Amino acid sequence: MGSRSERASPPLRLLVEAGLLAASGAAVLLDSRGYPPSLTEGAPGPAFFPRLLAVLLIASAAWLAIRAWRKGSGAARSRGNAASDSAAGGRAGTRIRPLGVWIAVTWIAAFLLVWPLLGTVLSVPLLVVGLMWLTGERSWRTLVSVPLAFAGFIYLVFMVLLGVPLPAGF
Amino acid sequence: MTAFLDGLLTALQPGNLAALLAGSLLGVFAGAMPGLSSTVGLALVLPVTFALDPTPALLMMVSIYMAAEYGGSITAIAIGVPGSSPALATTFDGYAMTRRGEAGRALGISLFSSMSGGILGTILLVLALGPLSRAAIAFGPAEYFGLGVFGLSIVANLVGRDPLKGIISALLGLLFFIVGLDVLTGAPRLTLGTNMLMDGLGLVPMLIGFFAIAEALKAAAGGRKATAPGGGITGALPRARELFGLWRTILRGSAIGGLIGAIPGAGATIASIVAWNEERRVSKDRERFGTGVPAGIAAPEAANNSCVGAAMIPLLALGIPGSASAAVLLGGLTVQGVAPGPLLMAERAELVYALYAGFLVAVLLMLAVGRLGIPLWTRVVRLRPSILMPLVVAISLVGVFALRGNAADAWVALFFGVVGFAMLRAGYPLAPAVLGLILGPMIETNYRRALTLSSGSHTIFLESPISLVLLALAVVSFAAPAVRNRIISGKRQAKEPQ
Repeated sequence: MGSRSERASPPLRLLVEAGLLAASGAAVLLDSRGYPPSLTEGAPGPAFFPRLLAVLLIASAAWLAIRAWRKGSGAARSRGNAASDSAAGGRAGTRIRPLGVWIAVTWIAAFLLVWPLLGTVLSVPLLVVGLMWLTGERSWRTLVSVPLAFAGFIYLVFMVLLGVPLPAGF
Repeated sequence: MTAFLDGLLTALQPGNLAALLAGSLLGVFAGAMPGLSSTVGLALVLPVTFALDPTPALLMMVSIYMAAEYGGSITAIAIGVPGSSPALATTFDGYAMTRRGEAGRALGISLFSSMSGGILGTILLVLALGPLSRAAIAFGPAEYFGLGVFGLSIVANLVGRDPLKGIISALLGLLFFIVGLDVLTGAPRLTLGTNMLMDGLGLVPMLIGFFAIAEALKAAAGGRKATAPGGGITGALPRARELFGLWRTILRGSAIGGLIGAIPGAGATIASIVAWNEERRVSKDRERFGTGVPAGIAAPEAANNSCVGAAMIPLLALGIPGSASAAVLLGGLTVQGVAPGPLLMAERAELVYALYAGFLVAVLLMLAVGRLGIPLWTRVVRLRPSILMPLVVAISLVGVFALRGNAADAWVALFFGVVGFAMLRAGYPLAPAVLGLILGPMIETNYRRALTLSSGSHTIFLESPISLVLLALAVVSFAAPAVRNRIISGKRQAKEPQ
């Protein structure tokens, strides 16, 4: 079963991207209405740069939409293969498990919520064990030993040796 | 020369040598931990230096500063997450080499280039303290604006086959920097009415999100099929012949780092990106940059370590810190009762020469510490992704929290992780967005400051020769890839009928 984004036709996906970008640009334009004017006559105020960027973003979104419209699925096959992507390991278009991504995001968000309450030593192993499970680790020995050893490392190096004031919990 | 030798003897005294070694170890660690950096490392050690004499205290700090610049490249190469922002450009080719199984070679090139850059930056510091510091203060808003635009023009080389998506990525990066209080008026912009966003989104959380969390989300998306960084990773080091064969690249990178590092506020991140781009521009192999080219590691690493010595030029000569790390160092000097400025050499010559020599000893210690650490890092790279990625996320979040003691930064990192993952999925390159966030403040603030000075006249950008040259270079740099591609496709078309 593919995800909804995988089932959507490539031009439609590009149109959705263009719509999101244009909406972001419009939101910036709306927000910039409340900025104060420039303090110096002749010099641009705090709204100038955001508005310029918003207009450029909307224009780029329009270009993206037109391209999607004209080129059809051919445009969607184009892949940003910038040098940085090879460094970041970016690969557009491979099959993904959307549920795995959402669970990982929720798990990290939950960690950030409980971190101040449980403290670093208790919450960091929970974060690590959850992510290890999500990324496919199934060895119980590893799932127990690695998070505990890592928590010890963080405690000793960051909290004791370097004196970094990480959340200590209740 | 005698004064320098005296300084060297001072730096080699057991207590001072121990301080330099401790600084190297801490610096490499601080640089390698995503979220931490030379600035954080220096800030952490500052209270410790209060109890030391001025010479060992300052030697420990310069050693941290130097070693952290190399340390940043370790995680950039090993796991594709820049340990600190100056190592961003190193990820382009460094991580690509690791994915090919050449982590040891990449780390060796980085270490050798960092060492060479550090030595050349120190030589620059000794020889050009006076003239370069005077040139550095010639930089006003118009010149900084020119430098920022020149830096941004590098986007043209990072957009890949889909320039539109690269441009959109850069625009998004520039918009991300808008979030927070306006520097000139204090007006909140794009803060959604929350105090949490008043400080802005921050570069480090963005780097952590884009390069660590987005990568972990990819691994989670793959489940049990999470891909390893590379098969058969070896710790094999580069041969001496290969290292010395990079001398032109290292010289170019060091020169760029030395010049940009001496300009207060420009910083090692910009220097390393500019060095990578210039190396790509002059290389016959430019199309292979980003796929694991040794020169793509050597140039930025030489540049960011050369910046360390260069950043000391305005600090020692004028009392102006050239970077955030130099600002902490200034704090250390002040605490020790040392007042940087034109009179420093006259009043504390012995300390200045000990610092010069300390830089060189720190570079050699960094080489030793770095060399001993390479087997460890190549072992880290061999960990299963299901172990490595969760640890990277956890240490990144701890590091990003430690940066300012602010939980909001960790949330921002998660936000950028999700955005980065979505951008990668949709084929948007991440590097232009990072470049936008780095250069946005320099471009906007100095554009507005320059126009304030000129009462709104844009001729201010053309009246300054430095600004004019930088803007012209920006136009050339921006247009060059398109022109080159057009020429190449024209030649191909001409050949086809034959």
